[in-house]
Amino acid sequence: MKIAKGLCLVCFAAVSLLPLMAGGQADSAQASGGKTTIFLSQSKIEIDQALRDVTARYSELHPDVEFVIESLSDNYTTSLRTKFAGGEAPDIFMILGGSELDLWQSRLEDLSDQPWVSDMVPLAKEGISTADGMVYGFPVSVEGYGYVYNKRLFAEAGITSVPKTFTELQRAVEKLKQAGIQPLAGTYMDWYQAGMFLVNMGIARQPDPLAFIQGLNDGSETFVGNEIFEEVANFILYDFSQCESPLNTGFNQQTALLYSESIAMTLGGNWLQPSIDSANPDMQVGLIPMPISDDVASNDKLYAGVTGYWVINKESPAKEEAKAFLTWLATSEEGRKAMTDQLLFIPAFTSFEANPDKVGALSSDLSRYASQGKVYGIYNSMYPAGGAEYFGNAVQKLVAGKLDVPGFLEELQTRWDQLKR
Amino acid sequence: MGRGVRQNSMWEHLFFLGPATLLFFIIVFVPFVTGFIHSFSDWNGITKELSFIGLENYKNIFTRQSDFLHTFWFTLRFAIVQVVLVMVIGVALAVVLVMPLRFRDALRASFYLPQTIGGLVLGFIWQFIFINGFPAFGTLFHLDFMQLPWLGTEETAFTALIIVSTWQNVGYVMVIMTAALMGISRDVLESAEIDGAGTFRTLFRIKLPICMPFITVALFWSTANVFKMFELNLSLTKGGPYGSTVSMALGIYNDAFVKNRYGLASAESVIFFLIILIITSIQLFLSRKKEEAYS
Repeated sequence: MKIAKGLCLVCFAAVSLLPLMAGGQADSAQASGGKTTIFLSQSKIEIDQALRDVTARYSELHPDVEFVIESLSDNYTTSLRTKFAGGEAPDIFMILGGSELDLWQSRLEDLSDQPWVSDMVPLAKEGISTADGMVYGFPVSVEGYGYVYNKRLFAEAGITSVPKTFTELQRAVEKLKQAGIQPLAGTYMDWYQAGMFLVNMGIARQPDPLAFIQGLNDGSETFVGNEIFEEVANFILYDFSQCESPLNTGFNQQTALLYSESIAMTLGGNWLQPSIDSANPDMQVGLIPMPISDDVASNDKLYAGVTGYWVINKESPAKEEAKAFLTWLATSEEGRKAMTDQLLFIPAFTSFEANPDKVGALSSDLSRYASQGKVYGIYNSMYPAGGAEYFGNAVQKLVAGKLDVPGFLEELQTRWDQLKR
Repeated sequence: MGRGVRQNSMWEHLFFLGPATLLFFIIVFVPFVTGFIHSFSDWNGITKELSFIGLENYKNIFTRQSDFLHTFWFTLRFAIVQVVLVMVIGVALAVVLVMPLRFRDALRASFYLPQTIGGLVLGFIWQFIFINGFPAFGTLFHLDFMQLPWLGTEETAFTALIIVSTWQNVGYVMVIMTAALMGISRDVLESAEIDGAGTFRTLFRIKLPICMPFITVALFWSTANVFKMFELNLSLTKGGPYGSTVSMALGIYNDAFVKNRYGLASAESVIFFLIILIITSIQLFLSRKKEEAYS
């Protein structure tokens, strides 16, 4: 009996001490040596070093502010959640906007009054605003995708102009095959690209994508029988049929094939640029559309959007300093230069532009398409939570022959209905 | 005097069991209770407020609003195949490796080695083997089955998981059974030999029955272990293709961290706990009975 009592006492003492210990740690991190520390946690692993340089420069200009930078790519949101649960929440962190905004809103500082908000391009604002017009995030960069193609292999196969329609794409693929070049590679082993980017094609191509998503949520729209989605499904089947063992190809194999110049085209975006620069800097690449039909006007387009926002933790003691840092980035001459020349972003602001000499071939193709208005949006942040995985699974079932096209559309519908709140 | 002894033993208990109990309390018991409480809420894992929705989560699980039953069915099939393989191969290896072979120790070490590597690492290594190694080997020797998309179809992905997880766990059973076999008294084996029992007869009628308590432990461990499979699943197949190889643990993780349904995931964990409790109890009960029959 006594033993039990003793044990209980010890346990309770320990448990009640735990939060104190955690709290103590957090406080000391915030105020070491009279300086304010901004803990910035973000998921673009490729900008890690550049971001450290930029923040170090900011600390030179503002000696009372210092930074802790953390860049994670895998399971970023999981780690974010455990940090919040454990009382180690970052001051600036990254979310996707759309349905992630609904999820995190109660934790976020309202940024509507920030000077850079009025300069945000409309597409960027849409993703991070609530229904009543409050803006909660800083758009990191415009990103976009299409087919990344190898210019040398295209030339070798005698392809003189890039395909802008589905027929032209088929012709190019045949030419590549005749020249003994593997035309395409797709990551059908993983749900990620299929769920994120292939399914998005169907949504982005709707006449009014936001209304379509709204309609899916209130039940007035459906995937079933949607002609655009049928076209996309047939395009996916074609893409799959031109790959070599696509069910056994994941992201690592896909990029390895691209960087070793073993394939002519693959789905990819300007986020691949830094790794191309380090893996095979001599490779000549470009970004081209993924045409699903023969109408040039609707097929000579890339898919682009803001795929991440920096947001500020509402309860952070350093939130004013964090706001000042974001303002510096978006409004000062030096901050803007840091964004375009060091972090290599394509700004989602009307007030300044990407530097075409610095950003590399993929990003300059993307910004050229964007400036001509030839882009569809990226809407996967508006899927219900967990949607991308289920939609990717549905694509896998389609290409594996487990579902036909109508069955695929029904599967999308069932899953959307199951996940929407 | 009696008092003095009791006082002493209390401090002894506290000294030896206290730290372990404390740790257990903090990292197992407290999370278990909070998880149980969360299972009645619709918490998404982020907001500070949570509202209680009664048994809604449990209802959703059994009305197929979640994939939990599907993952249970996969895990059950997987567990049966894997436990049988691990037990049979593990026991066989132990039997062979108690014989005076030349490289016995090296062989034992190499069979045990995978057990010491984490599931995540194993999964990534084997992913490379299935994707790049197998096809290369298959092209070289014209073996069709090696050129299959091993992680790309339902059946082969299942088989791939079985291969790796059996390979990983067989060493542990082997070690337990080696200890058991080496502990059998020489007298018993000699008298069996004098009575004219052959190698197989000795194995099945004498050695294995004597080892029954050890088999119980090994079986209990493998069963509980296979139901909790997570890292290997995450790194080797990620549950694909099209979600056909999602184990219960991975499914719960996905519900909590990918689909933001922390409350639902908590309810699933509670049921997960009950399922393992029931299955291992039944299995323990049956093998204990077997033990009694033999002793």
